[in-house]
Amino acid sequence: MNSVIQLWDRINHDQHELHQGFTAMQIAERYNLSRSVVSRYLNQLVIEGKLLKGDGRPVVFFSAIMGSEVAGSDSKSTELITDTAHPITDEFNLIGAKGSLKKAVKQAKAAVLYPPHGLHTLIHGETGVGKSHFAREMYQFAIHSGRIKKDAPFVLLNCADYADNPQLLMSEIFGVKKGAYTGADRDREGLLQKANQGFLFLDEIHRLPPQGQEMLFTFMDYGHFRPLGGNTDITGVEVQIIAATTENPESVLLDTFKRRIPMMIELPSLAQRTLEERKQMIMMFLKQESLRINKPITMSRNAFISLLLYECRSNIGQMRTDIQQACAKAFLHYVSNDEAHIKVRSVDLSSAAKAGYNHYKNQRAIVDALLPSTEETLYSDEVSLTQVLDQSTPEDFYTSIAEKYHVLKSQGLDEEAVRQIVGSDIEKQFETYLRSMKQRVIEHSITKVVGEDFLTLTEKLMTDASQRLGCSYPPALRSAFTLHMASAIERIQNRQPIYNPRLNQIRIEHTQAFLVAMDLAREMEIALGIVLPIDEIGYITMFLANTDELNKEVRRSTLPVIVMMHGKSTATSMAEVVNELIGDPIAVPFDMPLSMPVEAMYQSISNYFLTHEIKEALMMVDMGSLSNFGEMLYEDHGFHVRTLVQTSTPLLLEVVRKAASGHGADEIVASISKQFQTPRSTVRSENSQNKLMIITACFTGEGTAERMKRIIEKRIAKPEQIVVKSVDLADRSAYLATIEHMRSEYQVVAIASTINIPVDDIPVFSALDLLSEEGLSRLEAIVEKAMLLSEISKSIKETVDIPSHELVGASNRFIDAIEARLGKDMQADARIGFLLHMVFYIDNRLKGIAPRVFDGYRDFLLKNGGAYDKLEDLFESIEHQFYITIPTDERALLLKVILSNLE
Amino acid sequence: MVKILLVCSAGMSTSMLVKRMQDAALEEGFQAEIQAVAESEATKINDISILMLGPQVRYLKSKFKSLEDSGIPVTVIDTVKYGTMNGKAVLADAKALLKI
Repeated sequence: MNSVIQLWDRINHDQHELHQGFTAMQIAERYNLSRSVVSRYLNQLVIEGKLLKGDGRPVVFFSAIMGSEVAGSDSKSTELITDTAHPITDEFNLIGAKGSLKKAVKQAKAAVLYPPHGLHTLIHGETGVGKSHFAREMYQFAIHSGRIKKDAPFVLLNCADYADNPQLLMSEIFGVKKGAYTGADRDREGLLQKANQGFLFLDEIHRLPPQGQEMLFTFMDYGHFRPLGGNTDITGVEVQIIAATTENPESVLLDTFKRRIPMMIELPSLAQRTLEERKQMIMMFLKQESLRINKPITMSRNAFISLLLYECRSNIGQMRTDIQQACAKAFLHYVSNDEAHIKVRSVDLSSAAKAGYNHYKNQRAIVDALLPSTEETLYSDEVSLTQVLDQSTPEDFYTSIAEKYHVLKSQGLDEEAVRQIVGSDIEKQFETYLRSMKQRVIEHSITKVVGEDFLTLTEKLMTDASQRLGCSYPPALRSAFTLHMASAIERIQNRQPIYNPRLNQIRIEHTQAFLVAMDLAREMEIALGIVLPIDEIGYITMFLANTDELNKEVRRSTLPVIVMMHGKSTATSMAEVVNELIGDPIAVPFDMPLSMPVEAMYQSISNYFLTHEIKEALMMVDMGSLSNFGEMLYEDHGFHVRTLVQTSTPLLLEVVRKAASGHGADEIVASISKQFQTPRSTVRSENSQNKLMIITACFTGEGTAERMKRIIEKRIAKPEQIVVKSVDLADRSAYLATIEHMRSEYQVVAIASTINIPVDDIPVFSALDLLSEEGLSRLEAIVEKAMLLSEISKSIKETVDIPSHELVGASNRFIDAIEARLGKDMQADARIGFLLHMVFYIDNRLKGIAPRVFDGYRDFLLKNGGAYDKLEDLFESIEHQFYITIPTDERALLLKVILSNLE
Repeated sequence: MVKILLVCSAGMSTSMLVKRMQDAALEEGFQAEIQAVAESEATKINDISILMLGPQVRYLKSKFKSLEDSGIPVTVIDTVKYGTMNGKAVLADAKALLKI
């Protein structure tokens, strides 16, 4: 403490050198102290009221005692100035004074300090950029710099107030002699005179009639003017005039002003300000509101982001109004819900402000850097509440809301009605502020379906959840959640039951997520005035738990791998070897002696599944009827079983290794097919490939899935050729099993699902995709292509030796792979031509028909060796798949056709 | 006699289309000689009424400019008709171009 006093003494001693303000670093260097110590002491002195602190960085400190004594020639005042709203500083107390207002501030200082009495100034800028505030700051600066006296007048006149009566306006400014016009019944002093030795701020100067302008310019140039109806000039009045206008810079009027007023200061629009400054403004306005109602105000991160990014037509003025309005609404919640503190949430914002959140995704990096806190509540200022600030809204505004609320309540009105009445009152109060501001709702496709308020709510809930659970949710999942909740609420409102058969399981598997879901549900209940059944909370939990982070924890215990082989002990010995190598008994062997009836084998397998409660498994079989067991288990019990045929020890080893590291059946089958070139893991009937299907899925199979189904059916041109089926994905394994089952009957060309669960290479569309034209046309293209391919395989069915859909499918995948490798697509119709070419090529090879010879292939390969190398293994995979060989010159020939037809 | 010649990269896919076109012609009682050749053999062409290219060799079309200039139609077969091996429809296209 002593040291603090010592430092204070030293600063006082040196005050003549320090009157411009000082930073902690300067003091540290000056007195040879450590900067951090100095910084602590200085802040201590600020708390004691001996020092004042500037807003900028680095923080500049000023002695509260030195004050206006400095630098002034006129001023003799040594009084301590106690106006804490305007700390004694020769800096502008403006957000962005050192940022985007730097130039303006520099000009303003010059205008004020210009000898002998400053320069008259024109401030130009859009509505609401802070022109009046800036003018006041100039005035404060003039006082603090000693150019004018501390008690010098600051007179304000908004010319727009007198737009209907130019006579009156001019008499206001210049004064009037009795009898100058009807109603001028006595001599009156003009504002120019009242502002003598001080400032006259003329807002909306463009409303001043030409005659008045001329008089004003005369005063500026020569220092005299003549009151209306007077016959002598008044001289000796010294006033610094600050005029402000929103006039279009191109206009003639502004041109005149620019020519006649010596200093022109341009203030940037809010959009031209930096986000950092905008952040500070929001904080400042919140602080002002907080002071006004004598209570701390907090704001949710989402609401803060919306305010930071929304399009604010009328600039800072509008932003302040919007913040005040939001605070008022939050205050209402606070009073009516007995909440612990006032919290501004997204729902409290105007729809224009809320739309700001839509820009978050484009500016995420910069916003996150600005608002590093992952905490939901961002602003929480426990300021001392003694200061009185700016009075632009009635002080009793909030009180009146609270009173009105209680009065209406006591009249026996119900909560909802009271809220509506009081709520509409708030709107009315702000009408005046808002009249010039057109609210523009930014169109966002999802809001077309669910409405903006609802989207804001669900977005917020997802954000809360992600913070509490420490995981992230991709936008597609967020939209899915929104759509799901919209459907759920529709159901509740229609009194349709919601039933979640997996409820208890969910509670056990995802305890954490379930607890969070309970809270989210409660918040939704409050916001929407509904009651969510516990079953629905189960669904919400499922959404929340649907992230990799959380799924890993509850990853199904190692996937069972069932090995079934013909022979007395083939399966057992193979499983033994593999289990020993892996060090874990994952492979479960079932031997099938040739004497054993198939039914008996199936019985023991299905018993094993039931007793061990297995719902998902991978089955490794050698051949024959065993390969149908998976399908049978689905039919009988709904189990999800993938089957791999032609099992060998290396294959089993790879499968078990993957199962041991936590992979699911589908993942394993997908990766195995790639590695081992297994043609098909499941035998699909030829018939199945000619019937096309699109699957839509959501948790219930009824809400979003049904909606998506309708959207697709409406879009697809030939609905008779394609079946759209909605299924539920409440149980992941059951869902996968259902799809697998469908695939034995249909060719599933696409899945539209609220959750992205990959199934082999079937393209998955999100609900959001289906709401965009881009997504729908992508889906349409996929369907059309599938239809064409299906037509093709139908038409050549009779002429080829092996099932045509296999040939077509393999050729199609072959071309897909080539296109992916080369990063270029083939021209659409040439692609079909080449596909047929491949089909017949393979068929001819299978038929043993000798291929043609490509004599020039060496030259061709010399030129195109690079492409050939890239694609070599794809040719090999076709060879493996159909047990044919494709000689080099033929590969070259195929390659030539491919390369000639790239886009 | 109308002579229709089809060209594809190796004469493989077109051979089946040719067969279907022949069937269609027979059914219609339309007298025509329909053949398919591979791209490499398509250099020595003479004495034909119309040349039809498989979609995958559409890039050859410019090579047959002189043929076209001499009044012989050179066309690329419609993708869907080609893909579905619709001999009847391709024959109809040929006839339309030959104004038969």
